[in-house]
Amino acid sequence: MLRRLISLSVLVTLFLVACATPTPTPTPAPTGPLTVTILHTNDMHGALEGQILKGSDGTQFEFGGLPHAMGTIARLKRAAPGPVLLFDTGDLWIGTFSSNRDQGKTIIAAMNVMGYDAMTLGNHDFDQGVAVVQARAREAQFPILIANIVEASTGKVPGWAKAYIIKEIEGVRFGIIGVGYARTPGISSKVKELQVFKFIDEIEALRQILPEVKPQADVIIVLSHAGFDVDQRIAEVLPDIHVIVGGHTHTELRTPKVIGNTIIVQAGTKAQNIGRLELTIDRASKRIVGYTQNNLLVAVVSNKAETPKHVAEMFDKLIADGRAATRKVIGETLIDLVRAYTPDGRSTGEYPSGNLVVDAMLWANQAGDKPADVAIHNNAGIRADIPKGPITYGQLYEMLPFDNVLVAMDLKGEHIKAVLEVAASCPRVNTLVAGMSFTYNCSLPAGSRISNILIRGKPMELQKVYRVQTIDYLATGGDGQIAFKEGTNLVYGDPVVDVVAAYIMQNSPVNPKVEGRIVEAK
Amino acid sequence: MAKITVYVNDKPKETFLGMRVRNVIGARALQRVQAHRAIVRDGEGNVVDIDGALYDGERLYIAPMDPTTFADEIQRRA
Repeated sequence: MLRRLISLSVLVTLFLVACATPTPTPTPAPTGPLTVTILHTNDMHGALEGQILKGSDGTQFEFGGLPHAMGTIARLKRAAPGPVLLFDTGDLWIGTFSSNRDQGKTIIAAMNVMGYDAMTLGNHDFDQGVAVVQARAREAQFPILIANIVEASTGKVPGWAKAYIIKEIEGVRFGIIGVGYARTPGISSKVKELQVFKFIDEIEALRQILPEVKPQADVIIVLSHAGFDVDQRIAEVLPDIHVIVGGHTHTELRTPKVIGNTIIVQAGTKAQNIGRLELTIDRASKRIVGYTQNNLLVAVVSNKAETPKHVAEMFDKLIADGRAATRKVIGETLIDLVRAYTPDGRSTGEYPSGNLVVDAMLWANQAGDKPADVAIHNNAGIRADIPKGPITYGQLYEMLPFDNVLVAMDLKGEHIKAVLEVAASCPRVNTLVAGMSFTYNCSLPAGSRISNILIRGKPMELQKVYRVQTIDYLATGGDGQIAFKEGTNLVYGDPVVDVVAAYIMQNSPVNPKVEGRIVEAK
Repeated sequence: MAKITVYVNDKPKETFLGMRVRNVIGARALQRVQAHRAIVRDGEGNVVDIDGALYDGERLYIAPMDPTTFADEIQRRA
């Protein structure tokens, strides 16, 4: 009875309190246009550290780098006049030693903290294999959008990704679609592994998905890793798209490129800029009525103080781990890895460290369906010696500092001879070879100095097609080697320095010798 | 592998899809860009990075740059 009386009195009290409390005023509906800020990054390529620059006032600062970029994003988010959408358009972690080792784990974790809303994938995001991409997608607390990369077996976007998402902000619905680079298999070192996917032309994929997205969205945004050229074609043929956030070509669009109704933006590369596009949207019609006309790119400079502490610590650890790893011994050489020189001091001909590099290139077996017959590197690309004893990755990077990647191609014997003739600039012979040997005679005129070319011990046939493993620098005609441009069936591989590191780890101690691959006629 | 043609300071250069800006501008220009003594722009005047992917018909122009001016410009945009 007492309990019932107490309950009754509580109810009465609550009723009286409720009556005495003023009725809450409903929050007034926002008036005026809605301003949504799109912050975007692309092609960050694992750039953990920026470049040191010095201004005219003597100020030294760091330009770019992921830790600083995250600080800039935090600042821009705080300063935004309204809601923010944060996007990345791929090629996220491949590009630096420390980041490659980490396979994108730290960067994805940082992006989770920063509150990224979505990203698409770039061609390089597949460089470490599909399993790595899947693992990162599972860790990401934001969707991976790839409307044009579908499973070959089902024709559907893989389960760890989506074609698009719809995001509603204050009554305005944003349809966000992602497209990766459709020609990825043709330029990837993982061409076989990528056969599990079908890469669809970006425009075709968008044409297919737009009828599904359009009724659900007021504003359509495409996250694209197709490149600035393709983004412009997309805008020309698909006018329903309002914004394209681009990547791949590392283009700094400081003012938006506008084609018809479509605004194209892109923020360069290496975390050097944060793209900032403010969209003004009329709440009634839900249409874009204004957008940022200039100064789209906010440069990223030393501002780690603004980076969330946890994120800064994650990157500090990653950088420290990477530095420690470059000092770690990866193998041993039984001889001094030194170069040979011309009388005027240029590296030339055959020598142990050069043979080590080209032997590693053949050993890596990254020439595609059939193994390479020969490997060709230039002398000028070998830039340091390594003394007898332990070898570190850092020493190797000093030896091969140019970030060249393997490229394999079919090349006729006559073109291989043309390459060697150009290399025999005399007295320098600017080439290193594996799988072959030849004789040069500097007393003969240029173009006729090479003879006795043997490939795998047999005389080279001028009309026969050989599989040649070289580097991107030479494949594009570097050092005047235009005969490489006759190559067909190109396959890209890993960075040369990584290939040589792997070779040393597998074959340590190494003991490369001069074997008479490049012989001067007496 | 598709062959593409890009134009460096209006001079055509044939190369392969998948190559980067650094592969076609020449070793000397590359060193100058890396030292911020030169800058690469596309046909519309947009700055492009040396590791940017090339596309068929792309026009690239290499212009001299003063490293200090470059640094000042970055600070202004920060």
